[in-house]
Amino acid sequence: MEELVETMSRDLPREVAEGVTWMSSCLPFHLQDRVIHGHTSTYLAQGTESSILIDTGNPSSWNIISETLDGLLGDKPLSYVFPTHPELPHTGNLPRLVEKYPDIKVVGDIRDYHLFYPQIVPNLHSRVPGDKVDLGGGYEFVIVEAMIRDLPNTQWGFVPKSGVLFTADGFCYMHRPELDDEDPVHLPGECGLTTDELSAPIAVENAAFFTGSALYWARFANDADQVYDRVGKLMDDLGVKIVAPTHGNVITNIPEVAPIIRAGHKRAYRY
Amino acid sequence: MFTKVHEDKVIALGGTIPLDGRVSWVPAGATGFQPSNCYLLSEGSGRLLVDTGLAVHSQEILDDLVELLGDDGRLSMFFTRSEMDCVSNLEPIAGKFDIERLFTGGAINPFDAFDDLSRLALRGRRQQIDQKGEGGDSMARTPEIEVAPGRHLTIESPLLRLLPTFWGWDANTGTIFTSDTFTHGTMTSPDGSRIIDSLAEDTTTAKQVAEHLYAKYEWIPRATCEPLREWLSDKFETLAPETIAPSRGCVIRGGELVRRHLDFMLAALAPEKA
Repeated sequence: MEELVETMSRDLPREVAEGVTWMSSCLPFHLQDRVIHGHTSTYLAQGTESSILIDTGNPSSWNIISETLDGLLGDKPLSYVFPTHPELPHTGNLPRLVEKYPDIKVVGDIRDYHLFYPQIVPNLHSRVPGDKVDLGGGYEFVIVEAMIRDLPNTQWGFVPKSGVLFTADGFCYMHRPELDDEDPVHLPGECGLTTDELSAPIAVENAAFFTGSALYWARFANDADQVYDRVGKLMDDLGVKIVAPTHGNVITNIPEVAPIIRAGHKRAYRY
Repeated sequence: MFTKVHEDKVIALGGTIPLDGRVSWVPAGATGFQPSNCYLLSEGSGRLLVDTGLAVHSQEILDDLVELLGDDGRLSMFFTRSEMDCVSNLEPIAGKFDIERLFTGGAINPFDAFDDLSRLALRGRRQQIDQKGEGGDSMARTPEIEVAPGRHLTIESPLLRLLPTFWGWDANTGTIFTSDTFTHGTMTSPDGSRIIDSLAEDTTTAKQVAEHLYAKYEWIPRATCEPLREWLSDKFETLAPETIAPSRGCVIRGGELVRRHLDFMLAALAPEKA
């Protein structure tokens, strides 16, 4: 049978903070002369009473996502899913999640979802920045304004007890392509590493490449400094310790990585 | 009910969306109704569906396709974007009709949203239409789709876009398919006309065009827009389309109207003057 999930790190799932587990698959991106890989991550935040999945992952990864949830949740159902925005890597498994967990609540900015997924309308629950979801045991999931986004109905999320900020397409980058010149597959285990565990810093050009592609507007808007000043203030106000993007390694050394992401964003501007 | 845009050669299918605050791609406070469009291009026995419309309109699109395709249920598909307003009827259409070819860009194969057996049977029919060039630019790998001998849809990745997007140019009918731009044409009632084709009935304003563009392209007011204006002007001057066919919003038909709406769009791309 044809392999349907192109790449999936064997090092995941992995608990990256108390109550927060990193799940991911990796998609190949075909450049002119090589293939590089990018994460498509989902995260599971668990309290004592409830759990919330941040983004749904690609449809092609459904089987392993479903199995991973079974392993992490045991007999408990998934209580909530928070799609950061309606692109396929972030929402593509919504119908399957509702089928697997019929009582699940889909929370967030759910504009448009009634048009895309009419069969899950009863599960849709609108939330705005500042709203909180109580997971039990002192764990909360807080809806946060998405300060770096493509689609307008994008939101970020935050787990205060663990200090983890979920940034969707913000703070994203590719794996270092120099590792892939001879072999299109990333080095074993690299997909499951946090940024302070990588053997070398993230390259600015990798951040620039992803920003210029996934955040296409960055090519035309020369305002990276203003954007990241606002993001920095938000992170200070919230007390963010870890940044969990959908398309990059989990960022644990924010003071070192944030300037690289910012520089990559600035480099994406073309005019 | 489908609408003939250019005789039997270009037919618009889809339903209308009530603008009730639950749609992200229109300006806050927008009212009325917005058409959601997909288009069937026909030439002899050749059929190409441009986008598939919204899932909420699935049944009416399927019913119209049954009527239009008759006993010969074969067609190919081209997605202007991989967003759900374009792709979310892929599964029901593929379940009812024989999909000969699927032309899409992006890293994700839309067939992967299917159950395993359907996906395996259909994956080989997908043809990638983009490749990444220097700096991550998207370029057409399949620059033309043959609808039938002598009828082609020319594919291009527009400079004016948000996510990976492809426009189509049907020289045979003078129709340009603009995906999520030129989406500003709305209706006051759900049974209104899907087509704006008379200057007399066109109540569109420059403000309306700008507000609809900025609702999704929220970065435009803080962007360097001159390259976008130049690209758009050159495109329309070169092709001289007679019809603008967006994935959402009313179809704009007629040379004078196309020019008028292009001017509105160019003004929206000069946000300092808007």
